[in-house]
Amino acid sequence: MIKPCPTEFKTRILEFMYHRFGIDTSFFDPYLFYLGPKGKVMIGPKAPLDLQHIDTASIHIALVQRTVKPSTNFIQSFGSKININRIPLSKEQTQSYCSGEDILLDKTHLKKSSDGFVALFYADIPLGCGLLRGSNLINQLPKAYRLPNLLL
Amino acid sequence: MNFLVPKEFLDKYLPIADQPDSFTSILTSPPQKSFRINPLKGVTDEVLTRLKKIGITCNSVPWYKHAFTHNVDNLSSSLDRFTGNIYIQELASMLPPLIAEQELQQAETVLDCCAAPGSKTTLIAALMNNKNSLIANDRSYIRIRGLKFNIDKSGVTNTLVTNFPLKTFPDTQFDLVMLDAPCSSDGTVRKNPNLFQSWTPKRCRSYASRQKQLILQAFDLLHEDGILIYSTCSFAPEENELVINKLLSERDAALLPISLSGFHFSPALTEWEGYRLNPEIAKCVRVWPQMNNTDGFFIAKVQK
Repeated sequence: MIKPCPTEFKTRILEFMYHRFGIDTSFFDPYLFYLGPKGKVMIGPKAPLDLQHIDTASIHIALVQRTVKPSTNFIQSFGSKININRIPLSKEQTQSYCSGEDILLDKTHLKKSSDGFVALFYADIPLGCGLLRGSNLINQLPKAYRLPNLLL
Repeated sequence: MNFLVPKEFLDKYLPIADQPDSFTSILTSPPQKSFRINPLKGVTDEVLTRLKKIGITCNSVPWYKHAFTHNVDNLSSSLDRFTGNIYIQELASMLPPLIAEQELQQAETVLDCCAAPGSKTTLIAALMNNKNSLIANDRSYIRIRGLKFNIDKSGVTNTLVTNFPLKTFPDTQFDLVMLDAPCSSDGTVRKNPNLFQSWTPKRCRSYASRQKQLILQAFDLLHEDGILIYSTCSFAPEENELVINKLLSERDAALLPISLSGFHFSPALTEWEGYRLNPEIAKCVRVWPQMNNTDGFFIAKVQK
C-alpha cells in the first residue's frame, strides 16, 4: 500500500536532486509523489482509485531514510537531466560496474565530483548510481540488475 | 518433425487454420527472435547502431516502427537491454496494445487486468506517451514483482500497480480495459514445444470457463462507450470466439473491426463444432503463426 508522500520527504528529495545532480525542482511538477514502505518514494500519475488499493507506483525514484539515496531506475530514466556529479566510465569500468564490482577511479574522474552519490554514464548513456568515497566508487547496482557478461 | 505434434492438436486446428500445410510445418520451427525499442527511453537510430556494433543484425517489421527481429541468443546481455532502451518481446504479443493505439492516446484511465510480467503494460504506457493513468493489475503477488521490475526499468511514470482478483477489483470505471486472459497458451508452441506434451482439449475448456467470468468482469469495469481489448495466445475457439459469444449474449456490447497496416489478420470463426455463433464475431481476428511468422493469437475489440 502507498500513501501520499509527506511534504518533508518530498522537500528532502527535491533539495537533494537540485544540489546533488543539478535537477531543477520544476522538473518534478508533472508528477505526484507517493511513499511506500521503508522510505521508498515513487513518482506516478493521479490515482483513479483510492490509494489504499494501490500496491505501488511507477517509478521508484529514491529511498529516504537518514540520507536520500537515488534509485538506479531514476538515474537510468532521467540521467539526461543530471548536470553535476556525473562520472563517465570506460568500457572496462562499465563492464565491472554492471557485474556489481566496486571501481577505483583515477584523478580525472574526481575533478568534477564530490563524495556522495554520483550518476554513472557510459558514452552519455546513464547506467545507474555509485557512492563515491575518495577515489573509491562503491557499487550501488541492485543484485537483480547485475549483468556479469555485458556486451559492449 | 510432425510426430511431435499430437494428432488431437492437428485434428482440432487443421480444419480451421489458414493455409493448413504451412500451419503444420511452422509449428515445429522456432519462432523469430524479436524485441521492440522502448520509445520512452531509447532513440531508434542510436540503439540500432549500438546493437550493430556488437554484431546484432536487426530487421524491421512493416507494422510497427519500433519492432525488430534479430539473430542472436544474447540480446539480454546488451547495454540497451540493461538500461531499458529495448524490451525483448514476441511480435504477436505486441498486437493487442497496437490495435488500440488511437484509443490509448485518448484514454484518461486504462486498466490492464492481468498485467504481469508487464510486456503489454510497458507497451501500453509507451503508446499513452507516459501520460494519464494506467492501472497494472495482477492477482498474483509473486508475479507482481516481475511486473514492477519491468515497469521501473522501462521508465514508465504513468502507472500504478494493484493486486486484486478481477472479481474483487474496486468499483471503478475505465476508458479502456485490456484483458490478456490467462489461457492454455497453445499459440506459443513454437517457443515452448513442451506444451505439446501437456496439451489436451480438456485443458482448453478448463481455461474457457474462467475466461468467460473474466471478460464479463472486465466489461463491467468500462465507462459507457469504453473499449475492451480481449486477447489470448491460444488457438482454441473455446477460449476465444466462444468467450466473445458469451459476452455478446450477456451484455450490451458491440464488436469493432481490427486492422494494423502491414499485418495479416484472419477473421475469427462464426461457427464451431456445428454451433453457430453471433456473426459479428467475424470482426475479431485470429493470428495464425504461418501468416506473419509469429506466435498464434486471438484479439477482440469491444465497445460498451
